Amino acid sequence: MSELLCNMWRPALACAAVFASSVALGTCLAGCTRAARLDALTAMTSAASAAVPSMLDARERAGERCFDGTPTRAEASSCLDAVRADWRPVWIALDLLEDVNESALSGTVELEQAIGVYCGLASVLADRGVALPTEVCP
Amino acid sequence: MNPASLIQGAAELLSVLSTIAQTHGEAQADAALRAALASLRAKRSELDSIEAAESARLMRLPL
Repeated sequence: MSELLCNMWRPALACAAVFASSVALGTCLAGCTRAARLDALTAMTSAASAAVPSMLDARERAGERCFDGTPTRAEASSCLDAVRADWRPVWIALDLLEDVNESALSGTVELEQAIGVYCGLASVLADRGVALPTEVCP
Repeated sequence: MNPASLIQGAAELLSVLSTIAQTHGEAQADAALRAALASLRAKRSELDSIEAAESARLMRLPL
């Protein structure tokens, strides 16, 4: 039944979203076909990819602020170090999402893990003024 | 032809067609994920140029 529902609910992000919001998430993840799970992962990856320009704009603006006024090199450098540290969780989350994709392409699709990574990315981005669709997040 | 054999043959044909369809679906889903991953990586690579520009700008500031 869950497989049928998953296949009916393409694009698959909707499939994942429907079940992520229910206690049946584990059942769905086990029941979906591999193609449906790959589609769900593709939908999350595409959503993250679509948001990358906004991430880069926000990151660039944060860096620009380090050059406001007439800072010394040391002041601007210290400021940039702080900006880079602040944004590190975003790039780590994207690294993890890429890792999940690589694993999926070479074997089992760990959709539950992918949803966790994606929702973590959405969370750290929200703190930096960039929105991702979060219907899939519990 | 024996009706039972006909039914069995039809069932086997359906099974083969189902397997083909499933494999095709997985191949398509696999290709779509590869494309999405490649797109994500290409877009991310622009971060390098942002950081390089910042570093260059930093070097132009007074000590």
